[in-house]
Amino acid sequence: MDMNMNMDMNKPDIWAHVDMNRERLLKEIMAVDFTIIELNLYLDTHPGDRNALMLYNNNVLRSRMLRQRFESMYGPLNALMSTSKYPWQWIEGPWPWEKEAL
Amino acid sequence: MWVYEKKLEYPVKIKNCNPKMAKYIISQYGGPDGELAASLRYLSQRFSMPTNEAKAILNDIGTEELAHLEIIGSMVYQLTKGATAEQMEMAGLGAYYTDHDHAVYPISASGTPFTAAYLQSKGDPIADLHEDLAAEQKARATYENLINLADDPDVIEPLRFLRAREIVHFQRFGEALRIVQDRLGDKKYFVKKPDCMK
Amino acid sequence: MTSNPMFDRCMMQYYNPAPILNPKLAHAYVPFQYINDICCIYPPMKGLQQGTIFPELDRQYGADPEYTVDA
Repeated sequence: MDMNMNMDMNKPDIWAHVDMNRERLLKEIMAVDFTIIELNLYLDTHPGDRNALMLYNNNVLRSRMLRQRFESMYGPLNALMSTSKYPWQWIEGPWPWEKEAL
Repeated sequence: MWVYEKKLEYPVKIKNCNPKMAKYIISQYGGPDGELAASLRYLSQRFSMPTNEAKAILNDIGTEELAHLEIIGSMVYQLTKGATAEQMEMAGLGAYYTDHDHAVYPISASGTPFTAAYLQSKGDPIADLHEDLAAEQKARATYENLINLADDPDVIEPLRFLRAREIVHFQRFGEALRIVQDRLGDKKYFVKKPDCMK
Repeated sequence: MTSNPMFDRCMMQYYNPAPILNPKLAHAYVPFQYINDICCIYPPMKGLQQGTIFPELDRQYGADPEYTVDA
């Protein structure tokens, strides 16, 4: 089991030169966002845990970076926070419940 | 308020049409121990919770249950997509197909439409949190039953994920209960006072 | 199972969580979880696959005897 991946937070972005396709990038975002959700719930009942808070913040920054990359190539992910090209991209498929989403 | 993210919490990509499985899985959409009941329960109970930790955990787990509702809806949608009327009927979904075609509608596996009777928001934080603990265990048990009924890995993987979430939610509600118990044990803090003490 | 001491320390939490002090009658108690070490959580992809980032809360159906009962 690789316990050390979380230490990669501060290393340079190793994926910068790789053209991640839509599915792979979206799964990566799903995975980081899931870590964020889990830490969010943990911190709700452990608000004084410094280590968990640091992990949470690091993961949020990583998620932001991955999202920026995804949105620049494949369109908006978030209803209130993502900008759009013309014409309005939000309505474009695939929508998450469709098989083509991945 | 809520903001929508255009992705599922866990990926769902089911290659094989299987309306029979959809008939069972829909119970976690609109059934007694399903995600709709869970999200409404937690999002309703959060208003009368006494501590910040409890309010936060009910808020955030309630929000996550909405994401799970979406996963279940997506599974039912993908399992019935492309099924003919005859296939729906053979899977035991003839009555459902009559009223809903291939739509997703909140009912239980036995066809009972969703009702608020599946949840309680008692206003007593101890009672509410105990209900939440029980709800998570019932949901976990239901997912285990669904895993036993399924044989397609594309279906089993999201069910396993959802089952694992129930265990974590149980732990968080347990911790919230501890925090509330400690707070209510502090003599200066009352949630309810009998009239004779006012 | 595994000889990774860090992993074993995380699993110890499942079997030996912090004791509950001064329990009262007619009360139910769930032990608190604590992350002992920030290295003790699963990497994101594994966390998503298992359904939790915490090994001590990873109780898989079919693998964990408590949750796998012969009906």
